[in-house]
Amino acid sequence: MKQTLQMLVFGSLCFMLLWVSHSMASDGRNIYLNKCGSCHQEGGDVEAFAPSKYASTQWRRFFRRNKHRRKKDISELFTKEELEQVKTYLIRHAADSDQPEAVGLK
Amino acid sequence: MQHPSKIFFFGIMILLCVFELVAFAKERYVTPDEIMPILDEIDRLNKRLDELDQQQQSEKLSEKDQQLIDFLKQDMEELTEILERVETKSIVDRLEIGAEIRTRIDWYEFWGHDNVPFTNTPQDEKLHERIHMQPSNRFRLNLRAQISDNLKFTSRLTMLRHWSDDDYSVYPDVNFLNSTRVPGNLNLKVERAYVDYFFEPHEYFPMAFTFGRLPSTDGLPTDLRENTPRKSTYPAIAYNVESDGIGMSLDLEPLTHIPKTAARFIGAIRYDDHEKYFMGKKLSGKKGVYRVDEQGMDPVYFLVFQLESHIPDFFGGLLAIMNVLYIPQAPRPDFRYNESLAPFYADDGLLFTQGEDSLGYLTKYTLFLESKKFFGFNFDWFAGLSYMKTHAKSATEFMLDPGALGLPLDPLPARDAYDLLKNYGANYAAQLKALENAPTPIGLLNNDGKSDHDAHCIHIGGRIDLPLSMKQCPKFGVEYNHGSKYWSNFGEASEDPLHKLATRGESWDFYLLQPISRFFLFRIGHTVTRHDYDQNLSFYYGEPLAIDHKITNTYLLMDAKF
Repeated sequence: MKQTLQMLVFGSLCFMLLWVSHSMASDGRNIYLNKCGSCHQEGGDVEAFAPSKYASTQWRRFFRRNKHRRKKDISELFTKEELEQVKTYLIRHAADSDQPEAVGLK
Repeated sequence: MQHPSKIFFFGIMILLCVFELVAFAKERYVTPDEIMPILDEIDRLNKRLDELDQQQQSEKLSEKDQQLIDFLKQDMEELTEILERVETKSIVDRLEIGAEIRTRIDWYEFWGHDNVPFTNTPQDEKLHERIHMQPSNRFRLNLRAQISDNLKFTSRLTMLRHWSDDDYSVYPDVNFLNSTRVPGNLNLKVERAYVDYFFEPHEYFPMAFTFGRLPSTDGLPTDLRENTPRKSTYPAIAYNVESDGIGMSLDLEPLTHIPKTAARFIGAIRYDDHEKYFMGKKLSGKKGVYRVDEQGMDPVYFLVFQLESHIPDFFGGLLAIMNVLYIPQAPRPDFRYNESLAPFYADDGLLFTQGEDSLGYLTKYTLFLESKKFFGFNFDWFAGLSYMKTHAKSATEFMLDPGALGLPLDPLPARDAYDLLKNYGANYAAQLKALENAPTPIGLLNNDGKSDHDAHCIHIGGRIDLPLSMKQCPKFGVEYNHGSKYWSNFGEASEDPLHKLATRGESWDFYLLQPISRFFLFRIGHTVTRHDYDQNLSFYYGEPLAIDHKITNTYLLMDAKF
């Protein structure tokens, strides 16, 4: 009985954590896929790109100098938070980030 | 002995494979091609400057403009020089180097009985032991090279050592499973070093050929606990040991349109070269790799088929793996390194081992799922289920020949010798009494050489980002696994020192990760294992013995990597 109660409390705590964390979910990947991907497409006018296009330092410089403005001003399309999330996502998956390893994995 | 025609046939097959690899190779090196457009652009700018120079001669520019043009020309020359240096470096430097340093401190606690050797009988006293603060260091050197667009090299060299402690491998017959993953000495050992060669026999069938020391340690879901990308081909519940071999992967994405869908066929072999040494002492009497060592262990073949897919928009992205591991023959063990069993291999006719070369064969089926960012939550989870079936063929028996003592009796099991021979005279009573501790027959998870068994293991868990307003949120994870009586994990190379997935019983694991930055993290954790049967780290040898052990491990670790 005591163990069941403990499990219930533990389960409820996990559920509450999940609920709270949902509102804080970082969706840099989704913003990258949806907003960046709306122009940067395979075979489209604007070339598609992967986060591994640049190393993390280069991505930092890209955002610090707002290099996208040379081609197109995107300040209207992204909020400041969204840009920060995309930047974090791109840096996290940059060319110098830790890479997955498995047999035959490209 | 291999028949020459078999070797010839095998050679032809290899040549055909090589021919196919060459025929479909689309080689493109990362070379000056990518830098050439930039150099062309610089040339164009230089020409423009020359034109301006000529214009200056004809139109006579002011001194200030002339100075500006000179500065520009100097800048252009400098840029050209820098770019040429970068170009040379990009051609020469193909190797990327990364390193990881881990310091880990463990505390252990143990409760339970020791057993009378090779029996289910517990000794009288229940033990409670503690190990306080056992510190260790781990160093990894990661080397990578994208040699060309379709040729990739990956390797990892590892040192793992308790602080200022030098250990040597203790069980040479199974050390091939985890020699870099258990604490040893200061030597840097090769944990993995392999090459992937990507080619396309048909546009719908991109393939990859992989060979070397394969990425088969840090099995999934270690990526969650270690906070890294995937680092192994297999789920840990299926196969988590070091392996040398070759693999062929078939990329099914063009055919199925499901991302990262692939079928992999991998063969790994543990090969005993018949020149057996242990701690500098030669155990085998044979001279040369070309000589047969009758008492050596036959090769162990690990054949794996794996189908995997990354299903998007399903539970927030789901990695699904179906794995089949087949060991077509489980060779009998070679215990010559063990001082108490060495007399059974001495060729003196008194003590000896008997049995067939193979103990049987086994097959293991595993289904594994892992999902990150579950439905957009900051929650990652995994579930693994594995089922194993053994087919017994024989057992290694530890025998005594009474004829060598001048007694007119047939050979009998050594551990029964005292009971059966004590009435024949007291000359050898003390030695025969000692033989009561000789092992029971050792079969494929049995001690009769006949019994087939099945076993299963479940492994589930999750990890959540704690809802704190920090840039680097702490992550809390829980894992649970349960293994049945005959469960055999092939997980000796697991990262956790208790090898919890090898537990025949159950295990809980809790941990809290605190990333400080992309390069630095802390982790604290607590693992509890309850063993109903002895752990299966002794490979597939013998019938599991009933035990009542409970072990806890509490640890703190710091990881830095770049």
